[in-house]
Amino acid sequence: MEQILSFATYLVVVTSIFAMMSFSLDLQVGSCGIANFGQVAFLLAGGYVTAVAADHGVGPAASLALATLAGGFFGLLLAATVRNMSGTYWGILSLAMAELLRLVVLNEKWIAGGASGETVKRSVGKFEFVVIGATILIYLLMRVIAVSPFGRVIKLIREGDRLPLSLGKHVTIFKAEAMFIGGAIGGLAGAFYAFENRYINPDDGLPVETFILWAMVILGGRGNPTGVLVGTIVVQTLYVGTRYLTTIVPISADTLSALRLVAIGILVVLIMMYRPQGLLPERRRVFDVASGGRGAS
Amino acid sequence: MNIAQVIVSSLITAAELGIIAIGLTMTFSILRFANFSHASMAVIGAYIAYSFNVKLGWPLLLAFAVAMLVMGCFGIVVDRIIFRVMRHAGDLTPMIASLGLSLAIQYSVQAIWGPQFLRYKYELVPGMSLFGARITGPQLGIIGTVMTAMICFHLLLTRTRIGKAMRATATNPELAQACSIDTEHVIRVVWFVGTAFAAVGGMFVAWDTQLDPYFGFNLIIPVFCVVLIGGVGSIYGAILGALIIGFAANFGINLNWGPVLSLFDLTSAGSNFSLPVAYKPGIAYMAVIVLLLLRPSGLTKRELI
Repeated sequence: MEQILSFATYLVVVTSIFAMMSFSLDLQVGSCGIANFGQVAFLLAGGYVTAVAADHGVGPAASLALATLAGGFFGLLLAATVRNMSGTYWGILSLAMAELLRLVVLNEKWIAGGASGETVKRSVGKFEFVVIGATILIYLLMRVIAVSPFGRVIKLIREGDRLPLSLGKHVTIFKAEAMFIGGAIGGLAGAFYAFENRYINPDDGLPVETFILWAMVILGGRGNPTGVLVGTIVVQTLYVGTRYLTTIVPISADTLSALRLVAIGILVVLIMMYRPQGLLPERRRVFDVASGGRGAS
Repeated sequence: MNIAQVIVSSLITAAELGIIAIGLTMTFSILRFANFSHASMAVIGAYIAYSFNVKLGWPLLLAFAVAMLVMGCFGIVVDRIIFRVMRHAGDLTPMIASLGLSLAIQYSVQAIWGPQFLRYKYELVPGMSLFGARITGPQLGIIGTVMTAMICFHLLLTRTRIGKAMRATATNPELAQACSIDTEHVIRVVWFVGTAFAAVGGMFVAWDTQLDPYFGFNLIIPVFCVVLIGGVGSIYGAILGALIIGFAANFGINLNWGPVLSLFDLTSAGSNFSLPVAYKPGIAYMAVIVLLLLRPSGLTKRELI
C-alpha cells in the first residue's frame, strides 16, 4: 500500500513539473505564436542554477527564486537574439541556443560536474505540496493572463504582426515579455525537476525533451491551459504506463524506449494532420457580435 | 597546426553539409516551411545503405545508389501521406509535423538497427598525401561526388524544363500554376531530389565516420545554419554557407586564440588558448546567431538559385 502511495505521489509530482513546462511552452506557442524549439533550455538553466546555488549553501526559497530568474533571463536572451524574425527563425535559433547551453554545461566541468552531472540536495520541505501548489498557481496565472490586456495583445500578435503594430503595440517588446514569463516558469520547473531527481545532468537537456513537451501542448490544445494539462497527463501516462510493457511483451528496454518516442512522434504528425487545434481546442472569445463589429480573440 | 589538413577537413565537412542543405533549401523555398525531418532522412538513408551493403553483401557504391533511389521515393510517399494535406495550413503546422516525423524516424532507426555504432563494409586503402595533408579514398570520393552533384543540379535548374518550372514555382506558385505548370508534379520532383540528396549526405557522413542513430539530431542545426547563412532558397548560398560553416568549425578549434584574447586583456600576452574539440558543433551555432544578428536575410537573395 505504502509503495503504491509513494509511486502515485511520484507520478503526480513528475506530471506537475511537466505541466509547468507545458504551460510555459504554451504561453509562448499557444498564446503568442512563438515557435520555441529550445524549451528544454529553461529546465536546464533552472536546474543548474539550483545545483550551483545548493553547492554554495543558498536556502531553498532563494534557490527557487534564482532559478526562476535564470529561466526568465534566458528567455529574454532568446528574444533579444531572434527579435522580430519570422517563426521559422525562432524555431531554429531557439534550438541552436538550447544546444549551446547544453554544450557549455556538458564541457565546463567547473560549473556542475560536466557530463557526470551534479547531485542536488532536496532542501525544500513538504516538497510534494510545494510542487503541486505551484502548478495550480501557474495554471490559474495562465487563465488570468489569457483574459488580461497583456494576454489579448499577445494573442493578437499570434495572428500576425500588422494589426498590433497598427494599434501602436510594440511587438518585439511584447514577445520579449512573453518569453520572460515563459522562461521564468520554465526555470522554476527546472528547479523542481532538479530537486525531484536530486540530480541534474546535461542529458536532461537533450532536444528530444523539448519535442515531448511539444507533443503535450499540441495534443492537449494550443492556447487552452486546461487542454495543455490534459495533454500533459495523457503523454505522461503513455510514457510511464508503457514502462512495464517489457514484462508482458518480449522486447528489450532500449527498443521499448525507442518505440515509445516513435509513438509520440507519430502522434504529433497525426494531430497536425487531422486535429491541429488539439483535443480541447482553445475557445476563441468573440466580442461585439450583436452590433456587427468584427470579432477578436 | 597543419593548415593543409585543416583545409581538407573543412572541405569534407562542407561537402557533407552542403549536399544535405541543398535539399533542405529547395524544399524550404518551394514548400515554404522549415522541414525538421530532413536531417533524419539522411540518417535513414545511411542505414538503408548499410543493410544493402552489410546484410545483403552488395558492393558499397551499388548500395549507395539503390538506397538513394529508395529514399527519393520515400520522400514522395512522405509528402503524399503527410504534407499534402497541409499545403495551405501556414508554416507552423507542417513545421511541427516535420518535428514529430523526425522524432518517429530517428527512433525507428534506433529500434530497427539498435543503438550501437555500425560501419560500412568496404576495402580499406591507405590514405594518400596531398600538400602535406592526409586524405583517404572515401574522402576524395565524397568531395568529388558532391561537386559533380552540384554541377548537375545547377544544369537541371537552368537548362531543363522541370528546373525552370521549379524556379517558377519557388518564386510565385500561383503565377506558375496560371502558366500551366503542374506545381504538384514540381513538388514531387523536389521531394525526390531533396530527399535523395539528404540520403547521400547521410551516407557520406556515415562513410567518413560511422553509423550512429543519433547523428541526425547532431545534423539538424548545422544544416539549418548552412541554409540560413546562405539565404533560404539559394543553392549557391547553401554551398557558400556550407563552406563557411565547414571552415569556421574546423579552423575554430585548431586556431590558437591566445593572441586574440590577450588583445582584450583576457589572458596574459604570449599564452596559448585553443577551444576544446567538444565545442566544434557550437561554433556553427554561434556562427548562425552572429550572422543573423548582422544580416537577418542571409548572405544572398531569397529566390531559388
